[in-house]
Amino acid sequence: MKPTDAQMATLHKKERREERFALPFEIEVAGIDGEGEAFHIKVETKNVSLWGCGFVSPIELRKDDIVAIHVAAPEGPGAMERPPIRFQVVRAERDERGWAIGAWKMESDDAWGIELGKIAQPQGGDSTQRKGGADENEMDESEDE
Amino acid sequence: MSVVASGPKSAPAGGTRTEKSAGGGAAGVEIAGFPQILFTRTFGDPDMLFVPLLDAARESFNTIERLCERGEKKESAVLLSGMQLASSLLRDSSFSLVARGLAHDNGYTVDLEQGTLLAQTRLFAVVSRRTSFFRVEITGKLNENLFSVRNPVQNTVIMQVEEERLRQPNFFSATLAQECLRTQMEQERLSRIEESIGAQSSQEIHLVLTVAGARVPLILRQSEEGRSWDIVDGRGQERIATLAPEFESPLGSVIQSIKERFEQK
Repeated sequence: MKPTDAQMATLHKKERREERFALPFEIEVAGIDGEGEAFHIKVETKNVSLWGCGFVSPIELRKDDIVAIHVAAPEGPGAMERPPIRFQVVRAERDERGWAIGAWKMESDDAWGIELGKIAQPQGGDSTQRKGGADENEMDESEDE
Repeated sequence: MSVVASGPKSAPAGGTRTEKSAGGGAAGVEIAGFPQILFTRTFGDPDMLFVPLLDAARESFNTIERLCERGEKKESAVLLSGMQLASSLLRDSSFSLVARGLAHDNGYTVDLEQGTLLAQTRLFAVVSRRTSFFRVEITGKLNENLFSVRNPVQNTVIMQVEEERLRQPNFFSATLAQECLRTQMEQERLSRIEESIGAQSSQEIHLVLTVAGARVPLILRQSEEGRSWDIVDGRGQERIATLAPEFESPLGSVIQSIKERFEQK
């Protein structure tokens, strides 16, 4: 049975795996850093899924941090400004360009404004392909490359 | 910011937490506008969570003002501060995210835009052989230090408590529960008095006497003929004696004196 939106938003990380797409959406990530200061950074996603995304953050984010992600509005007449949507950081690993982040959407609102399968081929992954016995970090591959 | 590590009863990291929080109860923490509830199975008792949550919520509330001063829009500052508060709770392993709509033993609502904290819990108390288990709401503003304790069923304020008292160890389970029950009993007693006044047209004097260490409510009730006075046990409205005739005149003088005072006023 397909999980509801509310179930998806609170699924334990081990249960998360869905089709992901290598799509570079321009996003603004906002939050409050360890010094208590607000940050707004513009980055591109490495991959996205209906409920998650992966990107590289130039500033440190930690697992369980919550960030607001705002997809940049496309240019042109009729373009709609999309509201920020909260994501929970489910994986944060240091890499040479910053921190590789896997984030999971916390609300049912559509983050991307487009049907992902119409513009790209999925890279794989759904709940039936979930490997057994993997630890939490492994599962978050679905929100990363 | 770490919520649970700053509480007066919080345990250091490691195995001690489980022992200390084993009886801590479950709770849901709602941050207004946040899509999910932060749930704890073991840290939700107000004696454990109220003060740390108040401190964390206050810090987030102050962050809003600071962010606005630095050019952040109010709406965005509220969103970011709420996220920061949720993140700080999630950093403690006893908290997890759950869907809205579930009932919890203890409920906390932080509204950062309004600057309020509301705690909903159940208290248990025994006073004068009366045992009671009742729901209360504790509510207050994050930038003030006075909190109201409300009866959500009757929608009445039971009492007001200063933050200093809320910070005392075991205040909720011990002191507040007892005080609430005492207040409730007193309100019930006054309510009974008002009812009996309404039902009686004759004059009455209500007393509370300490008899053999126990506080006993008594009523002196004038008879319908308006001469003798009955002594009535206020607990069961049972007539136990008649006032001796030699005291009727002095009692009448006392009543007359009070009447005159009222008329002058």
